[in-house]
Amino acid sequence: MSAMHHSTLSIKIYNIRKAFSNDGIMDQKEWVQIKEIVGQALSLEADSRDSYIQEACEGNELLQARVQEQLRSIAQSEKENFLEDIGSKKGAFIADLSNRWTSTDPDKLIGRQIGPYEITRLIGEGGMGVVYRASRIDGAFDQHVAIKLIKKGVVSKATIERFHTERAILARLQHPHIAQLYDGGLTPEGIPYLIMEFIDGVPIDQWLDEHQSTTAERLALFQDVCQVVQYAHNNMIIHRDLKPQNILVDKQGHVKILDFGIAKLLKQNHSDDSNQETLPNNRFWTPYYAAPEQFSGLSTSVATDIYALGSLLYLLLSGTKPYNFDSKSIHEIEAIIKVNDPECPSNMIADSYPEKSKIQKKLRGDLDALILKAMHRQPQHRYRSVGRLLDDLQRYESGLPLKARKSTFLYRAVKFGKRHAVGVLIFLMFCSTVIYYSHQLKQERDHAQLESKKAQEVTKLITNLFQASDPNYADGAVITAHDLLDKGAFQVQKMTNQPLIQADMLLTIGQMYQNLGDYERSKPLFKQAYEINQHQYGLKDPRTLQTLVALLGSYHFLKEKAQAELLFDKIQEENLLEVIPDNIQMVFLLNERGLMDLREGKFGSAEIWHQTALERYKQLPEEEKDKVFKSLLLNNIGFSLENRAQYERALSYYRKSRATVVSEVGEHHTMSAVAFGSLSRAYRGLNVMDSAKFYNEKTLNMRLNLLGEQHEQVADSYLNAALIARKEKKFTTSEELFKQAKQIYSHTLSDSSRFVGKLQMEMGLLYLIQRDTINARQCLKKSTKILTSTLSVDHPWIKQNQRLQNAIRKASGKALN
Amino acid sequence: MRDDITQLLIEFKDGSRKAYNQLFPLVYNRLKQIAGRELAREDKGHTYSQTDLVHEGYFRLINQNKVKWQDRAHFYAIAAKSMRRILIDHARKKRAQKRGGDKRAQTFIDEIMNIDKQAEELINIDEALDRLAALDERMAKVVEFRYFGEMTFEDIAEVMDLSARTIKRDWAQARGWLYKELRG
Repeated sequence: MSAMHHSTLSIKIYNIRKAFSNDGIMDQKEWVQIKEIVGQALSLEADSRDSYIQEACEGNELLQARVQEQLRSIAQSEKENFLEDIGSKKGAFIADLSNRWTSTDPDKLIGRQIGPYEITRLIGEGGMGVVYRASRIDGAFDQHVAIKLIKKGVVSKATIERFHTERAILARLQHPHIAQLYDGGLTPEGIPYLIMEFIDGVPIDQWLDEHQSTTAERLALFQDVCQVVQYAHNNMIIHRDLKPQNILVDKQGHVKILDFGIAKLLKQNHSDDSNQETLPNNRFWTPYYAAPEQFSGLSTSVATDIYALGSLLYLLLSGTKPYNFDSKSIHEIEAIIKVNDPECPSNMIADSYPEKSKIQKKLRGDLDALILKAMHRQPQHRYRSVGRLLDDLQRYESGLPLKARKSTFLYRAVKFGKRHAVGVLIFLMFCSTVIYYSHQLKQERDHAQLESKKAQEVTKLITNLFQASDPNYADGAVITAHDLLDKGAFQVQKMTNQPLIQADMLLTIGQMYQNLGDYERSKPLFKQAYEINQHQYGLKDPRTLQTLVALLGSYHFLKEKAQAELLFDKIQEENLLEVIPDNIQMVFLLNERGLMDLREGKFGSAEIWHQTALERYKQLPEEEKDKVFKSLLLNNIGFSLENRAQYERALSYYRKSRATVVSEVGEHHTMSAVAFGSLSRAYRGLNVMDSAKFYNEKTLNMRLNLLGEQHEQVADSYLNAALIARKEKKFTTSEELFKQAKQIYSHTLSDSSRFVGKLQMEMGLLYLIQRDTINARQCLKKSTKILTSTLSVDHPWIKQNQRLQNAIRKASGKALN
Repeated sequence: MRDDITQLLIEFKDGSRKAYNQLFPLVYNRLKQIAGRELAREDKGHTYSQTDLVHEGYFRLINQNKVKWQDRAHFYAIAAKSMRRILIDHARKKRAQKRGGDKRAQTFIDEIMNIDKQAEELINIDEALDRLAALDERMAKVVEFRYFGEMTFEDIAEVMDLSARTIKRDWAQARGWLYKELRG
């Protein structure tokens, strides 16, 4: 009896094991049990289910667990509408099966409805998807849009949320030369789509070729592109996929850039996005314009767009792509792009270009250097911003030495020897001068005689100039802007018997040189005009002051600090500020003057200059005001206060600075990042560590996103974080952050930059606090070496350095005792 | 021909296995034909659903004047089985193409619509359904009718000669079981 009972029991246990073993195989008998209990439970009220199940399972815990699992699965499957996705999930598959969407022909989607739009026409296929033209179904208003269907399915909840946030940021990017993003979402099949402004245009390279544009015209249009990209960068949006197909020229000849920031929008979720960004496995992805770091999956930044702009200029000027990737695999391409610099564009002029050798000559040297600098394999060696790239282009156009080229004496000499033709432009400028003087003539009857004399002189001058450059008179030499201005300046020098007209002409010609970016030549003309006017009218006459401000501008642009300072001293001594009329140029120069003091650590006088600049700014007419610039002025005042440990006052200026910039351009702007960083430092000074950390984090993230890791502004944020950590006595963290900041400064500036000197000093203090005098002394030694060779003896950092040396000496003395 | 098929359907409804064996290939081939060729020729318009496809087959194969709505439900039951086979065959083909690394065979739409993933999902459902059939044939049938045949609970109840309420309960349980298998 007992034996039989035993065997029944063991069979029962065996069955249970079999049913509930880890391999999950369930036999029919168990399933019948489970489904009956579950069925019964489902017919009961939720609160009485548990007790019923417990009873029904008769203490069989494994059975009970299975029953509960089945109940949970039923609830969850109901919630998710599992397998009920009739017509949608299978929909695409059925369509595929029914061969409706065969081959690689995306035309098959024409006629489909997406949102309130119906797809009418295929526009193109690209790396990320396919673009259609669509129009509103309701016909409410005649609006055509472009709809982009995205290839990679965005499925997870996290990605969809990210998609929406990014889209909101992009929707804010409103610029006449950027295709506006209207909306986006998911089709019933789960394909993400974007609805964008429809641009009827032609890719920029094609447009230029069709118009048989000259190199100068190509450069001009390229500069338009740069300005648009610069606008986006200021709003902290990086394009990431700049290429001719995304840069169209419309019927009016205006540039329109598509897909701003779309590459980021379509990144997979945050955790695994670093490698996904450029979708290297996508067979549609064309890497012609992708920067090397995009292959490595490193984070993209402003430098990535600068690389693409370099590639674009390469193509636009030479007609050839920087690399030949035809029939190469993605890995081969990666290897090529990471090891080889592209060939100089001047050696790669397309055969189809007319006057190939002439173009070659134009590109050789400066433009080669400029393009290759923008396309440097290492991001930190490219132009630091689109603005700097534009500066160099302008320098090229004015025949000035480029930043992209090593500034040897020979190069500069050759540069100044070169001239280039801008004949039409210069003629227009002289014409406008004549019109100006004629206008003056009507306005001021009192000075009628003098003015008409001036107008006559100008007319005479122009006639002379053009006669001189007429082929019949001057051996057929090419007329160039500089030739004409040089001649003009020469003629004006002879007008010694009419000093007033002469001064006016000097100022005019000087301004023309300045417009061409040639400050070297404008300076002596301004100086002469200033001296004449001062002699004739006196120092405080508006005409004298006008020339003085012009001269000050030349000193500033030429970085002749000593000269500029002398002139500012004069302004101060003679109380000229009261009589100089308010204009943005003067406010700008006052700010620059303050910055000169800031660099030398003269915080007291810097504050006064910046306060003065702010006062003057407030007097400006509304149309001249620039809120972002005002925010900068407020920030600069705060900076002087902060450096004199007046943190409360600094904080109040920083707050105003932030409010000003945020109300004007929002938080997503480089100036806003500056304001947050400043707030953080002031809070650190006031020991409000939570706020200090909060704002520093904010700045750091914005900068990392925009600039990438290797940028001095990122190092500034790390340095601030290090100082915060030091104050919080988190010494290990602090040390790490110092090192991180130092690595970046050394990399992007130089090992002997004064910022590295300052950092070494702060690190020395960190070691001293921990009574590590050996390391402290080592840091200080490095710091002293750098600071004494870069700063003047009375700079506060030098003094700080000396105090610290004393402190270390005392501490090591104590240690020895 | 159409009348013959209609007659077979009536016989099948009355329980004739022989009628079913004759009917199934006819329905299967016809549906496959419609799916593969004829719908493709339709020009632009709305997306074709499976229901459209099965309706199409029904109207082309069966003489409506000679059948009652109950007979139509039986046609749908055969169509469900056919559709299951058609879909799974196609999914296996897609999978083979992908594993064979034939990139060119993959179309633009494959990428945009995530067809590969759906093929994988369909195959998984099919296999899980086989496992469920070993455990509980009736429930597996309900799922086949419902998921692959897109039949209403009323039609399924008619075909299986059970109440719609029972079918709904079976569906809930079977779906829970499959959910655990596929998502758990």
